[in-house]
Amino acid sequence: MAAGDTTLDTVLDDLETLVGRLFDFLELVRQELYARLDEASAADEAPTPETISGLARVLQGRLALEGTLVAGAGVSFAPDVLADSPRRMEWWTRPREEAESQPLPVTFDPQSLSFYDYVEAEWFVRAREDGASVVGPYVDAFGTDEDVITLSVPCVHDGEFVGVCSLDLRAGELGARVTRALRELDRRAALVNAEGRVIASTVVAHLPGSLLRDLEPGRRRGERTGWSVLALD
Amino acid sequence: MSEAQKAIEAPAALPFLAPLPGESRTAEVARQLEESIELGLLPTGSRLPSEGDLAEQMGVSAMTLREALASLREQGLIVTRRGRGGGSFVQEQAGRRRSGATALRGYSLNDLRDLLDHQGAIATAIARLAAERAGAEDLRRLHADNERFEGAANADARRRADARFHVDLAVASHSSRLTGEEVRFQGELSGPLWLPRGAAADPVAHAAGHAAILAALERRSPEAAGAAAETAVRSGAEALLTRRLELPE
Repeated sequence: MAAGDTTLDTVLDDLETLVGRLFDFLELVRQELYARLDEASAADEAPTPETISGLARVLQGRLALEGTLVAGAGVSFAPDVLADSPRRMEWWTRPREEAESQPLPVTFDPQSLSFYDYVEAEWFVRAREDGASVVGPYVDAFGTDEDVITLSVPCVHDGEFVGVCSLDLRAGELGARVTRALRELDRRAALVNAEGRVIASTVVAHLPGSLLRDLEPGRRRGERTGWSVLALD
Repeated sequence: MSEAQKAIEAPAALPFLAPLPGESRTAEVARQLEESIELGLLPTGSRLPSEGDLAEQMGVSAMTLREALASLREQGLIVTRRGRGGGSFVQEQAGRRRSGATALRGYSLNDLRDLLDHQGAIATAIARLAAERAGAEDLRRLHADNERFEGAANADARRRADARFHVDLAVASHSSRLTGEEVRFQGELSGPLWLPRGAAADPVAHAAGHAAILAALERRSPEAAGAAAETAVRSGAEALLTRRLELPE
């Protein structure tokens, strides 16, 4: 986009495009998952961790293309979908400082203090209940420990909800990119999510993470994200 | 149990710890044995000395010792087998369980005070920010955590629910650094606060503390949230420091 052409609307349009492209990434992962579950069904076998082991390569390959904006991506299975594995996340993180993605070490022992109860996490519940969702920014305390925005889609195979495909965006990195665009505006502005949480801003009084209240109900909201770019002058 | 484990015998003389004020003789013997297990002095899978030998060693009657062993069996710390090669054995998982007292003894009184000062400062800041920033999902999770805390069936469940409440409160501050700090504090302090023979914090008063913080978040009052968090931290700190003073150095 040429400098000077930036408006509140173009900032939001660009974000919708970016998020749309990332949902395409999730769609690809979801189709790969379905293909593997189909194979297991055709062989009349219950899916196991082995069935989906090939997803790791797909996730690593895609993450390598995404740069550090995407903190990680994966498939989180509904309880007891995979034989011998009551809970399972096939999740790969992309560390900031390394190009190679790595499996995420999470704890699924309910007795542990650091138990990652993803089945109760908002991104998992929202995907299951409402379909494709954008959740956050929030601090993922029991998972990656980062401030992230999660994009998630439900996976339904043979009529059964089997889990969620999702990816995490680094809220700080997205915020920095958006702030660059907001600086080109001739007024001060902020990007907020559906509940008014600031993702990026050029106003010190409303920094990322803070909550803007009393948002105008008629404001424009992104179709996929539910986000709004607001002028704050 | 493997042959190798069968061969392990507990050391003949265990360094028993001083009695706690107000403890019954049976409770004292049980606690001393538990702590020996937690500290690994009685290793996993090892066979305890015979009841007669152990009673003599600890200077208690056979009856008192048998009652203490029964309490360890109830807690799943030991298993008793009859017949040849029988006896009381330390259970597999037992060594990994740490009591609140064992965890607390890892801190000198000075270290503990310092840790609690730090936690208090962070907790107040977290609560103030959470009052400004908590969203609907944050509040929903905190209510669920406190309900789980109130309904906790045992000390370990209470510890987990309380730790989760405080970490989720940090999550509601939308600061990843403060959340990281709170995760570390809970890792260090939730055991001493809630596990058996720890600070014996009062769950009812503690739940009321959670409720006061939640009410302040819902009113969006950073001052009230900070004050409620400070009160809660102070009462926990007092219980921890009091208990630490009762324990040997």
